[in-house]
Amino acid sequence: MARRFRRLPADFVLPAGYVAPHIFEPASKYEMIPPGTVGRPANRCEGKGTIVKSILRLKVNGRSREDAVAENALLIDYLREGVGLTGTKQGCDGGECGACTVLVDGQPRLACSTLAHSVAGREVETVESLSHEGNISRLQRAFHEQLGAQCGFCTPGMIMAAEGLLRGNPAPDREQIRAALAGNLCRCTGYVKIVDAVAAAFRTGEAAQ
Amino acid sequence: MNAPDRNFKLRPAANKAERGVGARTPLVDGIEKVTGTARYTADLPANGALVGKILRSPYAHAELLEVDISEAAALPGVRCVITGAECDTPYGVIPIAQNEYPLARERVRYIGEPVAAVAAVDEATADLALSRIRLRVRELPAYFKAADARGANAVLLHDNKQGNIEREVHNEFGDTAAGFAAADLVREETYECAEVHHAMMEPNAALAAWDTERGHLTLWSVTQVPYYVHLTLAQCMAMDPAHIRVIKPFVGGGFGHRVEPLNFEIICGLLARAARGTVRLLQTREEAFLTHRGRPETQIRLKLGLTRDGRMTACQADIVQRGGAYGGYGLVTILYAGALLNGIYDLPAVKYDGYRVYSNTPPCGAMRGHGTVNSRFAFESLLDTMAAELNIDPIEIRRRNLLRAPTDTINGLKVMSYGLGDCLDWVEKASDWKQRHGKLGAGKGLGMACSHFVSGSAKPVHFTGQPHATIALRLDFDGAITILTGAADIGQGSSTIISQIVTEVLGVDHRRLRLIANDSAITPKDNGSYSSRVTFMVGNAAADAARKLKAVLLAAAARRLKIADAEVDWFGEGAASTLDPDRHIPFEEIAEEALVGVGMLTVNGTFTCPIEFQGGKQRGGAVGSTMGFSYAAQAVEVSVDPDLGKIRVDKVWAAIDCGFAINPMSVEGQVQGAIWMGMGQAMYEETVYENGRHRATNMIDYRVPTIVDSPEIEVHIVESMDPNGPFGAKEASEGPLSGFLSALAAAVEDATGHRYRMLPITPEKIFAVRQQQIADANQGTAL
Repeated sequence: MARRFRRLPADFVLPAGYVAPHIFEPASKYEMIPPGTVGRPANRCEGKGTIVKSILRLKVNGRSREDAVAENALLIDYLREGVGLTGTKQGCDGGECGACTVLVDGQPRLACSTLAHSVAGREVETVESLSHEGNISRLQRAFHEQLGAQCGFCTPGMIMAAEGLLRGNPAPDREQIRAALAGNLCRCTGYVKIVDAVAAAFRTGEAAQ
Repeated sequence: MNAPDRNFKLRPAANKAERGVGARTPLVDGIEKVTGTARYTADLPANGALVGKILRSPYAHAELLEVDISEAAALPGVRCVITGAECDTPYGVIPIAQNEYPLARERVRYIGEPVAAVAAVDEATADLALSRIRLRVRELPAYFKAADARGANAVLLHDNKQGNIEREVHNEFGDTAAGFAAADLVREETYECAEVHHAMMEPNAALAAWDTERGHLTLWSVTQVPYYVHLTLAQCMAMDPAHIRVIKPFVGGGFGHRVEPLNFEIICGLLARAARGTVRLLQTREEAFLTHRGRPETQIRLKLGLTRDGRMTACQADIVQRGGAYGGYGLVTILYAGALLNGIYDLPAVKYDGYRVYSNTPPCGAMRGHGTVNSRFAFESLLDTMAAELNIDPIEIRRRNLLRAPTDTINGLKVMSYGLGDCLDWVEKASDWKQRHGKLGAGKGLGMACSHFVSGSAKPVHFTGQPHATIALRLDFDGAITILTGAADIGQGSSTIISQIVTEVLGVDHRRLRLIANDSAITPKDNGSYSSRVTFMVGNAAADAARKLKAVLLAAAARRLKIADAEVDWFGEGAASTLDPDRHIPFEEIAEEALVGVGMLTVNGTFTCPIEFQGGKQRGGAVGSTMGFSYAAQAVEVSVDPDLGKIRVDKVWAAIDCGFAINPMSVEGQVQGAIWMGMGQAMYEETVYENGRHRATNMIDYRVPTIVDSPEIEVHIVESMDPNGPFGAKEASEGPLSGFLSALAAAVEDATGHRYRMLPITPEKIFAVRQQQIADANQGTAL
């Protein structure tokens, strides 16, 4: 399972009457945090044994699938652990970085913040779907040749977000590219060559037409 | 530039794709990255692996009286629960400063320090087990600021470090008193930089497989230095290193977070052994922030003396770093902060006092531009301020203080190549500096600064007598050449650079090469990806290995052609007789001949920095020593909305002297990434501790610049051809970072009239200054 995780809000206070499951000596002068590691509510996992699975029918990368999937499973866990498509990455604790971007019915979605069952009956595309008959897509080629990927960890999400953009807007300008990728963080490139790559990809598309 | 430069007769197709040095080739592992087939640690098949989880301290500073794991260990599905009792051997990246345990023993020193760990059959069970572990503690006073930790009655975090000072550095080179006396202008200012974190995109992860029958351990991890992880596992698990195998899969960035062996890697190994199986330990983003090792919060008191015509006479720096709870790389960071005040300008005297202070916050460590960044911010900032007082243009004043290579600095560093003057010239021209600096009107500004960094620390952390870099080339019956390297490609492109160098020297078709990296069972040891050492050191080793293999192949070609060695005309993909060009043989025949009687060939190439480059004789003198410094100059243009306090960086022009660009596209990418990371530190990023609890442990509260915030960065490459670098190359990815901070501050000053001396320059700070300016103006009117 991927690193699922809930953060406590900054103003978190323990409910009145809460009895800490451990012994303090002396009483803590800081706010009391349940020791399920920092910020992690300890009782979150008490629901063990209540996982209910049901059949999820959807299309993944063009193929129809029917899988028994936990009703609370996230799309990213279903894709990575269930289907084995590890191209989709988890870079944060939920909805911060965009590394898990996939297309759902052609629209970019964060797989880490999407319940698998919420996309039942729909079409999910991951980075693995972009190559056709062994040829990498124009976006993949552009990211490769323009050094749009350095460490490569944000790349699948970045490429899927760009793919979503190019399907809706075949000739975006640099500002439109930046706007479409605003939810995808990269820590290596400074984004310059990512914009270059997307721009080069759509020019490749023009040439092909 | 690319060999061979002659018309190739034997195989016209072979050299169509030029992938030697100087070529803008894509990454050799780029296809895997764009198709999603690249396997990072969390992507490795781990069917049936146990789920590892770490319990972290909710206390900033406390004596651990009891860690009761009995209830957790008794849960069904829990395979093992381990505590500090599992490992009583401290570790740390610097052999003389090891004071950290993978799991806390007796005391916890920051919120988030690992206290216990479990391996269970699934995540829910592991979580449940963590919640059943009970801690009994006695809380101790905790210190979250360096000044508090240095207080007279402060409790010591580590009993052997008085005043909670991990390392003090005091040195003086040249005569600073005389220098200041000779100066026409002396100024002293205080600068402050917030603590920042690497926030590499891939969260931490490790996978450990324990072979119970043999007592062997295999660990896959996200490390930048598999070698240190290997040594640390052996030390902390009391194992023979021969029984350990460390593999680095694809790694999603590091920026220094992963140059130290980290607690989760050792914990994963300990869990696998205790559970007698395979354990996958995936870390959250929050846990990466708590593991930290970032750039410390720094206070700098800087004094500089200049003559009337802008020549530097002396510099005095007093630097305090809040280092966090453990040693880590700390002593190196505080040494770097002083040592690399030198090496960029002609500075005749420097006095440095540095203090690395322990605090109850996550440990700091190395981060891109290790130790030099905040010092450079202060130095360049003060230089600007004083240049304005002397009415000298910022670019001009830097020009007047340039070094001449080759030269030795006052603290024993060697500058062998120096292209900073050319960098300044380009930046001045590209940004149209003379016409635009100070003339952009209200709300717009232009600023600039210079910076530098080492191309690899010339003295390795461990003295072993081994070469500083080793690479092996393997040739077998199939005619493929396999490059075996321990250099960790973490996205910076080291595998690509090594491949280009080998292609260049051998002149073969690049498709004949394959590269295998970072499997301790197969590849030679490498000191790792830190201090920008790989291109320089491993690059030299790669060139050495390729030359040796070429010599073997050349001799084989001579034998097969029945001519003298000197008579062989080498084409890479074949060879011919210089006297009779019609007598030629293809590579396959040469390889076949070379293997006769010996079988598979492996040649080693090595590189070692000569002793004279390993720094001054003073204590800590090795830090900052290198065979080649990179130099960078950059100009930054900003728009500032004074009412909202919002800065927009419109454009950056950067020139880098990287000696020689083995891959110009890669150099551009590194420079852009470095400058951008400097931008994050200068404008947005900041760790926030409230009572020691990190309040920004995610990528939103820890504000990393998005693509919308980020400017176009134009890069110009200056090639000073370093005499010792491979083909003249030096580093390119750390030096440009530190210049951005003060270039931005200068641009904001140009736009608003106020010089910010505290980083990050946030809208709140700009807004506050603006309100003050308005209040002052109104008061002026009232009077």
